[in-house]
Amino acid sequence: MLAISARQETTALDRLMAEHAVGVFRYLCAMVGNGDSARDLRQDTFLKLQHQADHAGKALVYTVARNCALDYLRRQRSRNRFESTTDPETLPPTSTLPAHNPDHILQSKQLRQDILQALATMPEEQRTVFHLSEIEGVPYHDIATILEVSPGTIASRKHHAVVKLRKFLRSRGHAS
Amino acid sequence: MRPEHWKITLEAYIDGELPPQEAASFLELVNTNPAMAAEMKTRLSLRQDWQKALLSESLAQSETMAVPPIHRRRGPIPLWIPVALAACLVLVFGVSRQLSNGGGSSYQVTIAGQVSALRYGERPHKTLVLKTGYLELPAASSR
Repeated sequence: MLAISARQETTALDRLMAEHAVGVFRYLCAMVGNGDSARDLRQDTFLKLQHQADHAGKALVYTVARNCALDYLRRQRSRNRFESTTDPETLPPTSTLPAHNPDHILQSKQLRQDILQALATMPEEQRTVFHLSEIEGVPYHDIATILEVSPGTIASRKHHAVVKLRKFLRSRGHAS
Repeated sequence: MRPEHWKITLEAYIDGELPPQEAASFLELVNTNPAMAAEMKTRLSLRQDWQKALLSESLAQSETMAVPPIHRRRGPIPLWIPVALAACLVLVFGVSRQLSNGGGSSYQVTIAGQVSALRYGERPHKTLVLKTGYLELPAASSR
């Protein structure tokens, strides 16, 4: 009985990781701005989810990931230090599309760093809304569940995040 | 429509969050206004650039392959372990009991208890003979 239960748990966890590991990692990168810390936090996230992997949906996965990130940021704040996004070595590799043009790769890498820097200047909830909606394609309803606000609030926060990001990118010389 | 309101609606539209009817009427409105249409085009292009910068095929592949193993709970405990533990406990308990009974020690009883037992005519158990130095009671006192 115990063996069956443990096996089911493992299978459900594997499925959950296969579906969300990459997205959660990207989200955590955007939240904490550091690839290594994001990896650790992703591991924490799935550890916390292992006993409820059967019924964990996108909203629950990102809620747990967000809580892990917030705990991390709180600890960092208490040390009076926020890991900035300026260290390209610790960030996940940039887009290789189009793969044959080094200029495009460089531009894309620069854009990524600037986006992450812009996100770091936003309030945490705005950052979460922007990343989950714009990059991960999470529906407003699920983000509203994660943040415990109404979908209307999510729409408004998304708009403000986009306005801030465009302004930031314009100041860095990107087209926006 | 106020500028801020229409931009919020634009976000909702490109996120696919508007109900079909509302989306259709919004699209009609955008098509009648060149400024709105240009803004929508720009916004869609930005979204593409941002996603390209943050989403990466190579990242997705490497991350899927390199998901670190997490510490999972161990498998079920074999049946013989709890049985062996229970047997050990029974053994330890039995041995300690045996030692305390037959190992030369005697029951600890109070003098007051023995005296009151005798007073009410009860026969104290053989093993309850008191050897205190102050008072010695017979093992079997007759009435």
